[in-house]
Amino acid sequence: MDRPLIETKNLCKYFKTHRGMLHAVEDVNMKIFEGKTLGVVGESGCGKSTLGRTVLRLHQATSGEVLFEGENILKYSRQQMNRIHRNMQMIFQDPYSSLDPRMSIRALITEPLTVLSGKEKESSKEMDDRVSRIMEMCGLPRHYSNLYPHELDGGMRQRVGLARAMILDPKFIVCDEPVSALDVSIQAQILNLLMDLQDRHGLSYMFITHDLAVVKHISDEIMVMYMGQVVEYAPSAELFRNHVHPYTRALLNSIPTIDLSRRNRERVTITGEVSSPINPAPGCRFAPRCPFATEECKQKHELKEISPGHFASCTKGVN
Amino acid sequence: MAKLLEIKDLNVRYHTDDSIVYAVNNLSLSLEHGEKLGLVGETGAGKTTLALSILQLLPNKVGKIESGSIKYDGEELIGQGEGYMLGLRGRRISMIFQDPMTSLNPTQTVGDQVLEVLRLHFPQLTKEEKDAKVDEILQLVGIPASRKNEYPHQFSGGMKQRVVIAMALIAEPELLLADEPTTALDVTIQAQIMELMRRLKDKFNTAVILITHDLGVVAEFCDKVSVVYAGRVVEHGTVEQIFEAKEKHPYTMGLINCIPDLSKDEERLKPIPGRMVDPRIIPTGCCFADRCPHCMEICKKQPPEIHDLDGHLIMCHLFDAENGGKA
Repeated sequence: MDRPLIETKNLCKYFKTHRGMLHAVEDVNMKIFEGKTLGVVGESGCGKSTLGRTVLRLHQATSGEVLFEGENILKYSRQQMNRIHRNMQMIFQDPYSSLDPRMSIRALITEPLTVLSGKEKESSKEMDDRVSRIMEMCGLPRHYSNLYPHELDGGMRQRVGLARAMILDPKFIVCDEPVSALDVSIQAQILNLLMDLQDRHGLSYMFITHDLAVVKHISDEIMVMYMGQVVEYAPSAELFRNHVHPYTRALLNSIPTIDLSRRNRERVTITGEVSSPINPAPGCRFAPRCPFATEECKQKHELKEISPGHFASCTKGVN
Repeated sequence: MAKLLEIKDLNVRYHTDDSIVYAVNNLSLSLEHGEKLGLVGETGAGKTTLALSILQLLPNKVGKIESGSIKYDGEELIGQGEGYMLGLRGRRISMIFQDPMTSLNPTQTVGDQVLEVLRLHFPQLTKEEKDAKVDEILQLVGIPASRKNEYPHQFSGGMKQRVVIAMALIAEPELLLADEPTTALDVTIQAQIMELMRRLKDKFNTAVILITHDLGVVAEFCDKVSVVYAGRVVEHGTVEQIFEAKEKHPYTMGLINCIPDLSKDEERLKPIPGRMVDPRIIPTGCCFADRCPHCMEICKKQPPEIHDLDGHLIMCHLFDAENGGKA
């Protein structure tokens, strides 16, 4: 297959604030093929969630294109979007606040169908079958259908969130930090489930997270973002073996590990914090925190292909 | 010299309208001066309850220490009056809470909040001396003294956590209880905060109990580890014993297997099946039995004993003599 399922071209999303324009997503180009996962990593406030939402048109893009199966969906009407949203779903970080506490699990799972079909109520036998099939697929016991969200723990709620997305039989799911709020043992259960569903249904994921260990595990390709800019973009194995951007290196070095031999490694912790993305200066936005920054860095920021499929905006400090 | 902290057979219960929650069960642990202990476990394991018990800050009427003893520097804490505890809290034992966003007062400048600790515990100092100390500690945690007249909302999450650490350490306590101090922060900021805690710990020789669910943070920071499950310490040892010894409690093993390993390419993760036992029920056998891959008949009937392998404590039937003493 040469045509990606989802593609963005120079996608930008700015927000208007009283202090000026907030550049949340700047000039992002990405491709996700059928059955593949793109991991998007970065620290809080780097624009990764905004990117996910803009791709689904939950935010209106400022400029650029989002192509779904080759068609620019940013030009679609509301009705056309309704149709396309069957194929593009999202699951959210917080399983506690993303489910309506007054709806039963069954009502929650069928809601996306009733919304998109426009029918008030669906109570046919066919629907029952469909719901129980989806619940089983997502590892939810059948008797849960009459329970309410408060009766479930975080892991089970996240499964309900996933069932809500899966009932529409989508091709593409944006997963926005789906396991960040869960315990490690539950986190592993959900990640395995996501991978099983991908194998069985050929789903494509855009997997947004700040946890590099998780992203390595699930992704085919990884995109590292810093303040709205993509700083490095490479196949997963390549990125972990051969990361070149100073920010990626600092990020990977910051992960605590249980390998005691790495305990006394030299830590390249970066100092300082993320500065403001409002009316940012041109050039690399990591420059103020970067130990290798030069005058030139403040001028331009450009992704270069350093090896086939591996893009990075900077290779300073690599020996 | 007496141990800094010695907890013996502690039982803590929460009494709700219709049930009793067995939060901490027969838990024992001890801590030397200047030691760094990691307390690891999943949500609901009783880690925070333990910290609140030490400070006698359990929710009034609902939470109750049923039995056991908590000795701090040789003195029993259970049954001490509020006056005694007030002299201890913030002065000799400090706590850092998980969420730096909610543990600061939004209507007070950060400088005032740090100063408050001195006002309470060191009333004999002059105003100039206090101000100098506040400036010094803020400098130490990496906040320019010029920002001390700002309010919490003007600080980022990492900076707020630095303020909280400054408040906890200004009285130079002997023990610091850090309850998930970096969970709400990004990894690069987490690395900065852990580095800061390491430096300050060396400077003041403070003992630290680090409560976390992140085994990586524990491996990098602590000397010793206690793994807590359903309100019990199921395994205790040095970091080397916990992460490198072959003998492990099946739960610890499970926790380690859950973490995606950056140095290996694995297809699937090995999650621990099922969920934590209902804390309202006291299991007749081992509390981990129904999730354990090595569960035997005896595990369902009889609670396991603690086995001592050169100071490496494991509470599991796999190490019983009739099972050959090893896994």
